[in-house]
Amino acid sequence: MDHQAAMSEQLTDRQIVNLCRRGAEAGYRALVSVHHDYVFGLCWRVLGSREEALDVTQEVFIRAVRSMDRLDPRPSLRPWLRRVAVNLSINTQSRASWQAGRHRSVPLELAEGEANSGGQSSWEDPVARLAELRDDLGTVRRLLDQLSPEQRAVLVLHAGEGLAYPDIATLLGMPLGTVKSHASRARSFLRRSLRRAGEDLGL
Amino acid sequence: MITIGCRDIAPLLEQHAAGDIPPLLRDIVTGHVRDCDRCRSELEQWDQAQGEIAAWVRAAAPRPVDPAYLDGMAQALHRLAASPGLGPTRPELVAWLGAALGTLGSGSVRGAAWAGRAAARAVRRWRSAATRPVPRPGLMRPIALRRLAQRAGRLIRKGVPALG
Repeated sequence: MDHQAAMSEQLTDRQIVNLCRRGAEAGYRALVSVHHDYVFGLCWRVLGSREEALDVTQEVFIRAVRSMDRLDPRPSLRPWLRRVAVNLSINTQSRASWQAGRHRSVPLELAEGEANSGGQSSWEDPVARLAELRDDLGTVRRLLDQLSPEQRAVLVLHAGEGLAYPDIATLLGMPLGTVKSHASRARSFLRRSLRRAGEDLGL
Repeated sequence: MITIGCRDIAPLLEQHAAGDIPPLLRDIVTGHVRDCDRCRSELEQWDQAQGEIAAWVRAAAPRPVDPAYLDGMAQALHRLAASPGLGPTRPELVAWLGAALGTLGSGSVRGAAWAGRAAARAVRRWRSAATRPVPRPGLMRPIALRRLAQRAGRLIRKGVPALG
């Protein structure tokens, strides 16, 4: 498999799509091998949940298979995968929030910490909580989890993918003003929260 | 002469930190914060927020997925593509319709009728496949099984009626 994966990663997207269109299993192996980590990482950043991200990633690849005849691999499959992954993630999280009647309020660390430590929450321990607050990435991650899916998606696409706001607006099918408004609200919230966290810690 | 005060600069600080500001305004903000402690402090906070977001987005990554899972997923996608539920591909449709028209043009009535029927079947299958939900392949994440287990759990909690 390692050898196959190495071979797969040498293929261009055009070759991968051609193999898939011919029905070759090697094409599907290459498709998954080359693009799974990217799609999964993107979904995970927008959704914040490993399980949901795996489900959405699977759905993205199923859609890729269904659209194989229409996919344009030039110059890369990444833009298509990115668009489908982000929009599916937003829809999934919006639906989940709507069903729950609110945005998810459980911190990400708590959700994953419980899975790793048999349900023991570090939030019950003030020392551990302080340590987590001092961990900048952990704090940002927890704060980002409180944003709406659209706000998270805009931040991830702008800061992580390096997309300009007009490109994000096209990708998400939103007006440019709405995209900028999502970004601005998210940054304002994060700035306020980071300042508050700093004050709580006496920094 | 126009004087630019903190009130004018404040709304631009966030745009400055995000790098989403026209060059002229960027220069004005940069010039102002050089002399104004309050706005400089505000800008530092915006820069920090922007930096934290960028650092998280670049550094954070989920735990890697088991290679066996990826292998199973690739096989399942291959089976899904080959399953009749997806119907013929668009090139196959075009080829069949082309064959139907070609046979019709050659004058063979029976051949044209056969090719026409095959093309009609293909169109029907393609249309129904396009609107039908894709069945989850067996090796993929067992969402259906999970839902079944949840339903069974609810039934058990309610009390399953005795069989027979």
